[in-house]
Amino acid sequence: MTSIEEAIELLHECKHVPEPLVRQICAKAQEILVEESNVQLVDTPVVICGDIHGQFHDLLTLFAIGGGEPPNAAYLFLGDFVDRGFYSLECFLLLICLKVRYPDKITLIRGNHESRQITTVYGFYDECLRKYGSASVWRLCCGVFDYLSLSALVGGPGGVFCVHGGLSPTVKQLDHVRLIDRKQEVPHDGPMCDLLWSDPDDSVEDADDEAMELATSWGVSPRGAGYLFGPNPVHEFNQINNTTLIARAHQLVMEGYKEMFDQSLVTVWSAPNYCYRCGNVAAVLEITDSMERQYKVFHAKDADVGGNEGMPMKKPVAEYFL
Amino acid sequence: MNLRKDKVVQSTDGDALSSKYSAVQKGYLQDEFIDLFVAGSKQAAAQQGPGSARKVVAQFQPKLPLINRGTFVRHHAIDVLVDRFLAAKKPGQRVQIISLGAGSDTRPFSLWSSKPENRDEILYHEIDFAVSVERKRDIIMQDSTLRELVGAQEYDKTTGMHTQRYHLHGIDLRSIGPGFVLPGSDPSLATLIISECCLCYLEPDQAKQVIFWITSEFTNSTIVMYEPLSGQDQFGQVMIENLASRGISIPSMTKFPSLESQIERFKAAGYTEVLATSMDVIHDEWLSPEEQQRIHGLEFLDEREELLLLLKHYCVVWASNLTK
Repeated sequence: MTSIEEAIELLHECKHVPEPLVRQICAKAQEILVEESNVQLVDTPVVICGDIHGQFHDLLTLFAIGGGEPPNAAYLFLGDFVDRGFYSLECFLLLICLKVRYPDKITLIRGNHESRQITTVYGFYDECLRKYGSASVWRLCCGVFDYLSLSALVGGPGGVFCVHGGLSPTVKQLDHVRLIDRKQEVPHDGPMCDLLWSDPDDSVEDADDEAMELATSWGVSPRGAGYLFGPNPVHEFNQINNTTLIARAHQLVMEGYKEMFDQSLVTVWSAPNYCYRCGNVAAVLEITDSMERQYKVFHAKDADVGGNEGMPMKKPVAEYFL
Repeated sequence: MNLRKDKVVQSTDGDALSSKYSAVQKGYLQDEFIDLFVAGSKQAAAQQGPGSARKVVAQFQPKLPLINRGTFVRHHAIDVLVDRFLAAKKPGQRVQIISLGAGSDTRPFSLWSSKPENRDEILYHEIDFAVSVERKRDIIMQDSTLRELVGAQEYDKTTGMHTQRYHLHGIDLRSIGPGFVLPGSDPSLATLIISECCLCYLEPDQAKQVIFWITSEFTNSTIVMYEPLSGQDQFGQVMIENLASRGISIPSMTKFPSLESQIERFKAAGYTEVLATSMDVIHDEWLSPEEQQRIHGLEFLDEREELLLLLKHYCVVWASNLTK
């Protein structure tokens, strides 16, 4: 059995993955990811998945409803594997193990949480510290984050552009994405930041007047990074790049997915009952060989059942104002 | 009475204190007295053993930006409404504030400390379980600034604390109903009652009795109440279930699931001016642009949808029958 298969087995049994093994996995993942394009080409059929956020048991449910773990079906994950949930490390390790083992059956692109700065605030850093007693495993994972691709194109011409957050006013063509030097921490502004941070917004009005475009098609993001964008930039992007849909994640959607702007953009959210508190359902989007969209909705596992010795599924504590 | 349930309700003071402490640490709020109460809480936990000490250390870890922001909005809303009540009083006029389930709240000390004239003009009552009140009294008596602020003369061994401007009552709210007389209170004064996540823990009938007592005892009264709102949706349902797993039951969430039902509740109690707003509205509309900018600059907040969803499930109510 290879070390990767050994790690996958440990993860399935919810057992601790020793640090030397994590080091090997991360090194192999980097070797594979470094070869990938900023716009990774992905064949159909593929199951597109949104934010996971450390909800390991829900990730296993996702694979079950998506057609089984790779190589049984092909998956494209839109980032935000870590933070918030209590099993970020297990989620990320399983995903990169599968990537190393079946590189053509799983594509991973980077979310805004795959960043040193964000993970120190939102839980992944603390989780690694808790599980290993030092920050070395967190550092290894961050090393992999820097190599993750930024976007994907599903199905070639007429296909689906996939990105974690959204569009950028400085990215008109796919070639602009290809030009980014991605092997770095997520910057605070610029095209790479925008792709990972931006959100579509219904209230950003369209303007016919080109001179007004920046004022009316793009808005200030309340997140403090990236932009809000209206339908205009989406239609324009799809037209210029011969794509029919922009699939992105990044925003909680109570129904699991939400199409916008005449179905030219969709948000896919794959963390059910987000943070064990939000009560939302989750979804994945399968793009078939004939480029049809098939949404599959799923619920959170009842936190009182399942789990085992290695990773007891005890009820996590969600904070409230009391 | 269920002692375990009481203990769980008392433990929610730790939630409130640790959330406020985190928001103060991050610069959202100012509170010159909170360190004393955090130290008191840690000390009390240490006396209970290493398990409690570890728990309390974990509790006072920094909170997520989402929680800090929500804590800030909660305190901001109540500050605004308390200021509104105080702004209506004439110079020199005496008023009374009664805080239900006050826990480790530092509001009276901040009020007296920020404006010296408040010391003569604001008569402040805090009501809580006897055990919470004892701890608070100890913390006050061990600090010379607090002792001076509340006007304490000497350490008397009766329960609670009673000075010319401050009354700390160890009273179970479930024993309050019409006819109850709150020691040291003055029914002739314009009175503000604050219930910050307090009445919500009572059974609806008990909460109703307390409100009935307020309206019958204090003819010039205003209630400012902060409590969770189920919204009758999935988030609210998960909240009820998650809290139940901690042993916390919030009957008001079922009885008054919406802003409308909260408004109806206080109109039915005889209040003439009743306003209710959810915290997401306060977050977006009650902050000046400068304050908005300041808050945005403190911490990176990753998800606005989640924040608004969370805030939508808390409300603040203003109910007043103050005669003009």
